[in-house]
Amino acid sequence: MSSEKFKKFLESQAEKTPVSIGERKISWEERDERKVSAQPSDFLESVYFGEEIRDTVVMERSAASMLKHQLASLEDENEHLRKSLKILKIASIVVVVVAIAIIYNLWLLLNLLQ
Amino acid sequence: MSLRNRILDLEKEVKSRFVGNEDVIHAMILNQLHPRSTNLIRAPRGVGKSTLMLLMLKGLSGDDLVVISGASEVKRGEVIGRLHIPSLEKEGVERVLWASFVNARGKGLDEVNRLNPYTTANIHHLMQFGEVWAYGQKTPVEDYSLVANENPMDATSFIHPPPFYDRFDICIFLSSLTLSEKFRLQELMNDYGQSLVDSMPQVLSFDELGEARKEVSEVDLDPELAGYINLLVRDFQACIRDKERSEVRPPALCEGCHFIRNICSEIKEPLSERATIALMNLTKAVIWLYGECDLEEVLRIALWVLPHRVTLVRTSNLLVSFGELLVRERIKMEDRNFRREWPLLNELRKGYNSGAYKLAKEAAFEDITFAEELMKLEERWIGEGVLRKEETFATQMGWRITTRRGITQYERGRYL
Repeated sequence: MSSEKFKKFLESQAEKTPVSIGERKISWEERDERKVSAQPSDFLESVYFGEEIRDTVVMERSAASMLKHQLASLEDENEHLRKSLKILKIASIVVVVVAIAIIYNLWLLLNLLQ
Repeated sequence: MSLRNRILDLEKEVKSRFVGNEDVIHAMILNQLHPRSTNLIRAPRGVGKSTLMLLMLKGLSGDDLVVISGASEVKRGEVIGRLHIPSLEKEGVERVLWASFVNARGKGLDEVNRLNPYTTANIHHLMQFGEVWAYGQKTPVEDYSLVANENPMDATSFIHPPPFYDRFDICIFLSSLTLSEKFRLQELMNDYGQSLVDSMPQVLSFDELGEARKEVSEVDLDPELAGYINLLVRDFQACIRDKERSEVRPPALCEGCHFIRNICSEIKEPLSERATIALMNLTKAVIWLYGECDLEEVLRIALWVLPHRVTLVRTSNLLVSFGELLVRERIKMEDRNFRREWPLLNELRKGYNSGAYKLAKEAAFEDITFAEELMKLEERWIGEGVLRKEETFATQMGWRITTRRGITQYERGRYL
């Protein structure tokens, strides 16, 4: 944190995209300086700049690969979570059955003792 | 003629003799503009690695160039130095005759992958310390330009250690010629009497190059560009599970990690700090030569600086994989702007603010590099009594920062 250049970097970024910090709120203005045109819209721009998606959306090969990769990772994670959920469901059923068995045995034991 | 024009002339002369791969020549020209420049050309056989190496070295140093070839038998005396036998016999003094490779301004290494490990070790030392050792004596090596080439697919390759390759500022890849380029090459060969290299003139003297290098080194990089370069390198290094010291490597290390979809999970061996120096030098060279450089240019430059320094978890085509990683990095930088991460950190650096801290914590949850800086601030606030340890982002996430001998280290709580 002590580097002068690092401070200057942070200040330059703060100057470029200023934030207003009040006692109870923080705000900033979104500057949208891009021109509206009839050309096809870029997919990433629509995701990251919130630009309106037009009739035709273009995507670079590298961006498509990245999205494909991210979707594949999410699918893997989903699969992993689905398996965990299944195991947890089975475990919870086993726990419930064991609990019922214990309660039933205790009830039988109490009846025998009486 | 100004120094800049001479450099541009050098590029023109090389391009007029070398067909295709124009961006690669441009990269090599930019990389000549700092002291002790080292360039690695990688390509399959017969694509023009040696020709490009010789064209560049001839243009810079004329006849003051020596090429060591890994394809021939290389002895130590040819690379570094040999004993002067008469001195030893007559006076009993060990005097070393330093090899012409040591003294030459233009140094070429042909088929570096075939160089034996001993020669490689000597050259590694030269690139690292700017000096050479032989028979217990050392001599400093004056400023030079070193261009090496290799075909990594060559079956007779030695496997050189990664730190050796890390000493090369840039690594460029040549591709084979397209149909029209083949015709162009044949025309060129006819124009230059079948000898492209012999026709190459020395465009500038080495002293002039030294002067240009000095001017480039004096270029003051603005904090924004320096920030982007440091950010880029840090994003290719940072790992919340401390892969630098971990015995387990990605992808096994990344199993279940919160940042599994980040760039860090794609990188097995993190980037060395030499990448920062190389990026800074090349950015300065662009500014000196063209008057300006922006983030997009830095990312383009990164494609010459990163591939030989980083080991990826999986890749089928190195350049395509790095291209994709750099696109992801660009998106990450835009995301940071969108979240106002750096303005928030700038405010928090001035003092604790609960609102800004809450937003910063949200951003840190998705960004290791930002989280590192936030956790450093948290430590300061704990020291100042502004914040309790259990309230910190580091505690909530189970991430911890410790500083030992100036090294910042992160450890997951469960590894402690």
